[in-house]
Amino acid sequence: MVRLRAHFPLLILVAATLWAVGILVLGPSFQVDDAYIVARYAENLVHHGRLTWNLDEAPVEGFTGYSLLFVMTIATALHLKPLMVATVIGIFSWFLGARILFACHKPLRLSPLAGAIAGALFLCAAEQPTHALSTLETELFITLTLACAFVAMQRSAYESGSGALWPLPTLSLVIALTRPEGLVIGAMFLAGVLFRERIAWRNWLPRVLIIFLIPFGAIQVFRRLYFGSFLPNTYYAKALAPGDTSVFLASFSKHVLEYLGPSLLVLGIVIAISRFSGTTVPSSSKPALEARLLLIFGLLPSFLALGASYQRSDLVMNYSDRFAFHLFGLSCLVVLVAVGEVIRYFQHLTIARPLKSTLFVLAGVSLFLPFKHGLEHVTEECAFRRRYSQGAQSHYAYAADWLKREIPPNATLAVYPDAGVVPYATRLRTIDFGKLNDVYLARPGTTPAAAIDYFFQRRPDALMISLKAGFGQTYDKTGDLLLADPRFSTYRLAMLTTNHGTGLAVFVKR
Amino acid sequence: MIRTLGGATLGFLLGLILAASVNPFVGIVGFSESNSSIALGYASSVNIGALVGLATGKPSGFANRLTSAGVGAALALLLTYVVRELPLPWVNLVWLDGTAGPMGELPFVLLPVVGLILGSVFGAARGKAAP
Repeated sequence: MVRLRAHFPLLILVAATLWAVGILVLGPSFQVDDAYIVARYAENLVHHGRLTWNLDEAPVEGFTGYSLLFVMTIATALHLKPLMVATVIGIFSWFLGARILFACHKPLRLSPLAGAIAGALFLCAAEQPTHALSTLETELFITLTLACAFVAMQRSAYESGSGALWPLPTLSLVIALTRPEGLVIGAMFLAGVLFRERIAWRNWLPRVLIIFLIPFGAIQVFRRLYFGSFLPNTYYAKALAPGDTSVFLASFSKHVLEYLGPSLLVLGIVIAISRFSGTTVPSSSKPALEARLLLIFGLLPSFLALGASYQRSDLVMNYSDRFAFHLFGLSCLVVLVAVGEVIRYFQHLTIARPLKSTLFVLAGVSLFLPFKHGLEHVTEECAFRRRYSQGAQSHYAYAADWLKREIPPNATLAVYPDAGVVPYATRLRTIDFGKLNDVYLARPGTTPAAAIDYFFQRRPDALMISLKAGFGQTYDKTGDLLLADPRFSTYRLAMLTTNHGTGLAVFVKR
Repeated sequence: MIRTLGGATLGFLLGLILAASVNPFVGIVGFSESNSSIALGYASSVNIGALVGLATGKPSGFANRLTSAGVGAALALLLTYVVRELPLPWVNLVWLDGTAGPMGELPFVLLPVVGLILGSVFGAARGKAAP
């Protein structure tokens, strides 16, 4: 029995890992179109020495973070497939994240079973393989949030200024360079630790300056001088776009109800019952309390800042609740704390055995519910990945081949809205009406009229535009207005692909 | 055993009475009709739990009947959440009360079941020493 108790957390983690590996091996592969945008920047940097979207135009920062760009640049320089390397990073991050999550029980002084349950949830959530395979930085970012929290909480075991001080500033820098919102998470955990260890500020100051502040500041200066802005163009494309701003709230509510809700409810009930029964639960040790305070200090502002930022953005490409999932690692940490506290309270609960047994069963079933949600959505996620991959193959791969054959290499292509596979494969000079790689469309030209005027001002040689189900409409209202504009009569339909009710049209100048 | 059966009967009857009382206020799909009916479902279950805790007597480990009622209410809340979230089969009770839907959403299933389970547990817990 003692041996089972010792090995049970490990068994849970092994089972969850096998499940995750099975989903990866048996499920469809998946590469998000946007990842090819970063690959194009990496290729331009390696082969032409310019970090830019179009080689003969002013630089624009159409990628979200530098970490993925760095990985793809190295891969391109080494003649490896950049997207394949990004996939490996995503999968590795997924499993590493689960391992870090499990390890978080130690600084929090909670049961290893709580760590195992949280780690298993991290591995079994249906959306996770989609993000791990997507070739974007989502999974890396999630794991970095966990690493920041873990390293910050570990500091609670050390005296102020003692032990290794470089990991947290390093992680804060890496997460800030992975996604802009990572700056908030890294800085909050770092600020929490610095506040706790303020007495040893002389030890911390040089490390924070040299590892975090100076490199980050240097990159900001580079951004301002090279791209003309402190934030990437992708930020403006989303934050200033007139889109549906309730998308994040909807997906985050679902995220909270499905993954966080059950453990928090069980914790509330167990605490209430222990209060009613007059059970005295010994208070946690000082390092455990400090670790929790550090966690709360980093976690709450991160949730609020990211939530506020996403809530006012037009979240395009929010597949598998991607933006809410940036907080999934931290949510799993909350689950770990809740489950750990449930176990701690339950161990000291002095109520009659039938009541305790009932509570045990109900708590067990409740804690299983997030896994049930995760398992239920697996087929849905697999279907999405398969559909997306088939669509990319039948539309983008075909269109890229066609454009390479029919359009001269010095022509200008306009893409509406997906600027991934086709610009990367054709190497054509591209105007991105998806806004990510175009400063004008992301900032001043946000209205449909401005975008249409911009199109006819630039007069590209070809337009590739996505069509919605039924082919009566394009991707959005601006696309419809563009095709209906009398000036568009100078273009003719040259190629059309259709698949499962969606289409891709290529128009060329008459 | 007698205490368990007595508690179960009491809880079941309480559930039936409360189900008959709230049934006119829920839609054809039971408690899942709207947010207010979901809240009504939880409130009804919590009431049953509290009443069962109050009526079946003070189990060992509790200071008085009121704390026992509190525990009943808390357990009822958790039990209702679990029953509503589990993928239980659909039943058609149109012939009885005009509702049809997943078992966990129908007043004439959910409330008697909550009463029955909690009544049995509190009945069994009476006089048992805390571990």
